[in-house]
Parts: sequence; structure tokens; C-alpha cells
Amino acid sequence: MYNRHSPYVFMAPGLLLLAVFFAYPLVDTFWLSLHKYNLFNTPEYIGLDNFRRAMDDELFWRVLANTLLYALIVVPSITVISFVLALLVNSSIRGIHFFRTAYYIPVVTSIVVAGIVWKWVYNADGLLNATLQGLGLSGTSWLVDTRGLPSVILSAFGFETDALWASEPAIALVAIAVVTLWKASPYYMIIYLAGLQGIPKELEEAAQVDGANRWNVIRHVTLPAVRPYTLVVCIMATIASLRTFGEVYVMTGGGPFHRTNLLSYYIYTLGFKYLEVGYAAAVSLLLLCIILLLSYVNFRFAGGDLDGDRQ
Amino acid sequence: MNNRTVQLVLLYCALLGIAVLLLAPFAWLLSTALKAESADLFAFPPQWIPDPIVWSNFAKAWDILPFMRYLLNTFYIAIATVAINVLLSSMTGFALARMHFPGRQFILYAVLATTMVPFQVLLIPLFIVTLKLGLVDSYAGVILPVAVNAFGIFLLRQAFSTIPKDLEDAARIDGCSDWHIFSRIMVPLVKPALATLAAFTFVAQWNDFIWPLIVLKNRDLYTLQLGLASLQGVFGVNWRYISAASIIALVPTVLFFLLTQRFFTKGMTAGAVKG
Repeated sequence: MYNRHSPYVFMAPGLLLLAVFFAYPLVDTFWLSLHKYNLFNTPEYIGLDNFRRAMDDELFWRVLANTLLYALIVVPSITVISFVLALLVNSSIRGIHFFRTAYYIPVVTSIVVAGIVWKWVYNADGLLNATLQGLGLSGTSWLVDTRGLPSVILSAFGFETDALWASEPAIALVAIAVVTLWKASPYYMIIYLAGLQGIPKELEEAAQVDGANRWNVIRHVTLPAVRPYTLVVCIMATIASLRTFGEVYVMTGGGPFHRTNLLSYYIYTLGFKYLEVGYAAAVSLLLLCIILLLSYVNFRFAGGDLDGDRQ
Repeated sequence: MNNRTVQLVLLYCALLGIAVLLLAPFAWLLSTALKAESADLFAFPPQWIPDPIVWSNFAKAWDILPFMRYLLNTFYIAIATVAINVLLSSMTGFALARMHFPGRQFILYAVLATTMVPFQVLLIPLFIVTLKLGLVDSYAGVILPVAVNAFGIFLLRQAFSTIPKDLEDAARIDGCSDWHIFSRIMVPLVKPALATLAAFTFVAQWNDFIWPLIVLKNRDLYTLQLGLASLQGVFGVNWRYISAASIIALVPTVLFFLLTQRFFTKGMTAGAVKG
């Protein structure tokens, strides 16, 4: 048997760091959210005023809408793209390791480098516009354009519209989402790949013998088999998309006109630019609530009857 | 050609097409970094292979920013974080996996629950703690808040769990101390998990941006990523220098990843889905 003090001695340093740099800040967030504080004054207790302020803060609602819209674009796309990528690289053909490795490079690229690369691609005279021009289409300044995606697509075909429905999602927000997809999809591809490699070969072969075509095998055998992985991908991608910061900081600074301002970035500007520490803490807690809520929703939808499958 | 060959060719075309799509931005970056001052960056159609190829943009970028300093800072911070993370995660994971004590399950679940709270939510109070501890503008301030996390502890806990109990008992009979059992017998058996954690931590810390951005004000302590981000202002819109600098920052991570990649896939599948 181990000495009865040993477990605590072994865990002490690690748990101490978690206590100081996780538990304490978490509790402090609640405390700060109830105070008016700018790092220099004596914190003043103001009850729930910071939360009331958020309810009346038009920019907060704008940013919240952006964040949810962004998650709505990113999460389903990432799930589909990473699954398709995994299907493609789940093969034993010659050179497949080269492709898996090459695909993963955007994942190990820092967000600063990624942001710079893509700013250059999206530039008014950048690679994307040059490519579009080659196809006979007209481009735009992707990160500066204030229009929505629908109106940009329509104008490419000669229809100009200012209609409200055509103004969302903002073209710059979609441009940022594309960077996230580029950078994160290969990561989730590896998770799906692990799932695919866990499926017994006989299962898919049996379905093929029974006359199922490729699409049916994927739909009725592969997809149900990787369902736990889909749940993981959905939850991880949701949390990651709700906390997106680097893309915004490096590429747009939240602009144009707050159309790419996302919650994490808003919290950062509130806390570190305007020193609205109490208010920033309140908005952080609202973000945390949204993350927990959406994780729960994911769990219900994607994994709701996981236990049922096993029985 | 039979049906099988056609399928194979189609698969290769798809794989290759995606690789081109994913890596084209890097090729464009490299092409820009190698273009001469006189070359038109905005030429249409885009010029992928510069003519002439010039290397002076790299030297210029190296001159304008103290890259050596940033490289050393980043290297030091990444290595120190890896060392602390590997040591403390294996100690904590070892206790959670092999020892029985009241509250073990609770601590394990508490550690796992921390993954539900993203770093960004804690940014401001974390800065306040760091400020109170006097660690703002120091290496320790960059390292300690991110040195230990649930991923590492859980990864090591899982690795230690798989070791058969007989080994422990044999060592016990030989009169080994708890620390001796841990450091001499158990740790060598989880080397693959340690390597995975080290590889992940190194890349994560090398690339980290948001926390160093907040905690470092002194430019002498800047990491590569901070230097690179600050560069956008310095150069205005000289894309040649910015591209060259980005490549300087990118190459070490990519090389490191290519050398250690087998640990990456292992770690992700171990950490992501259990059972």
C-alpha cells in the first residue's frame, strides 16, 4: 500500500496551480460581475447592474448575434467537412500518410501566421480576387466589405439589393469562418479517423454484400457507428467557435462596424481596452452560460440515445 | 481501365485537390516573401514563381525585429511549460490512477469539469491573479497559468491505469519508496503518453497568442507570435517583409510537427473519446 499521505503530496503541485489559476479566477469572475471595478478603484458592489447593463447594451446583442451566427456557420460545416476528409484519408493506399500529414499543417500553424496569410489572400488585390477575376467574376475587399453574403452573391450576378434579409451573415464574418474551417477541420478529421478505424471491416462488407451502394453504407452503417465521435466533434467545435478570438484580433479587430466582433473579443476589449472589469466579468459569465447550454443541447441531439444504441 | 483503377485515380485526384486547396495559402505566402522590391505583388494573373527569386526580404525582416530574441524567449517559454506540465501532470495522474484515497473520484471529475470553462471566460480574473502575484511581464506569468490542464492530467491518468498491479507489488516487496516506484518504475512505462503530452504542449505554447498578449508588455520578453502580430503596424503594408517574417515563425512549428507527428494522432484519440 502507498503511504496515506502520498496521494496528496503527489497531487499538491498540480492541483495548487489549478486552484490558483483556474478555481480562484472562476470564483472571482462571479464576484467581479457584481462590482464596478476598473483595476484602480476600490471595487464597488452594484448587485446585478452589470447584467442589466448587458440587457440594454445594443453592442452586446449585436456581438451575441454575431457569435451565434458564426457558430451556426462553423459547427455544421466543420462536422461535415471533417467527416468527409476522414472518409477520404481512411484508406490504406500508397502515400496516404503524406496526405494526412499535409492536411494537418494548418492545425499546427499559429493563429497569427494563419491570420496574416489569409489577410493577404482576402486583400483587395489578393489571391482570392485574382482567382475570381480569372473566372470572370468580380471580387471585393473581403474583410472590409460591410455587405452581407447574399447581397454580395447577388451583385456578382448583377442584382443590387439593400434588403435586410440579404445583409446577414456579413461577408467578413463568413471570410473569418472560412479561416476557422481551414484551420480546424483537419483536427476533427483525425478524431473521425479514429472512429472510422474502429469500425469492424465485416460490418461494411456485409452491407455491401447485401447490395447496399456506397452512399447507403455510409448512411446506415458508418454514420451510426461513429456517432459518439460526432458528439465529441460537435461539442468541441461548438465550444471552440464560441471562444474564437485570434482570427478576429489579427484579421479584422471586430470590424467593419462590429460585423465580426465576437463575444471573446468583446470581453477582451471591455476588460483590457476600456478597463470595464466588472462588466467584462458579467459578459464572460453570460458567455459561459451559453457554452454550457449549447453543450447540453448538443448532448441531447447528437448523443441523446447513445445509451439506447448500446443496448 | 477497370472500375477499381478508375476509383483509385479519382481518390488520388480528390486527395491531391484538397491538399492544394489547404496548402495554397502557404505557397502564396512563400512566393510573396521571395519577390523582389520591383516585382508587382498585385500582378494579374498571380505570379506563383517569383522572377527573380530574392532572399533579402528575410534578412530585412530579421533586421527590423529582434527575431533572435523572440525565438529564444519562445523557446524558453515552450520548453519550461513542457517540463512543468509533464512533471506535474504525471504526478497528479499517477495519484489519481494508482492510489486509493477519499475524494479521488471527486477530484477526477472536478479536473475534467474544468474543460467546460474556456480560457477566454477567465481572462480578466486570471490577469488580476497574475498581477497580484507580481507575475505580469515575466516568463513565469506566461508559463504558470497555462502549465497544467485537464488534458494532461487525464491523458497520464489513463496511461498509468493500464499498468498491471503486479509490477507495483514486486517493487513494494523490494522495499521501494512511493516516489521511487513512481519515478523509476511507473514513469518509464508511460513514455509514449509523456511524449504525446510534450509534443502537444510544445506546439500549443509556441503558438499561444492571447495570454502572452495580455501578460507581456515589455518587448524584450515578447514571443514570436507577439512580435509577428506587432509587425503589421511596423511595416505598414509591406507584404514581402510580413510574409518573410511569418515564414520564419512558421517553419519551426511545422518542422517540429513533422518530426513528432505520430504522437499527435495518438494524443488526440486518447484524449477525445474514451471507451
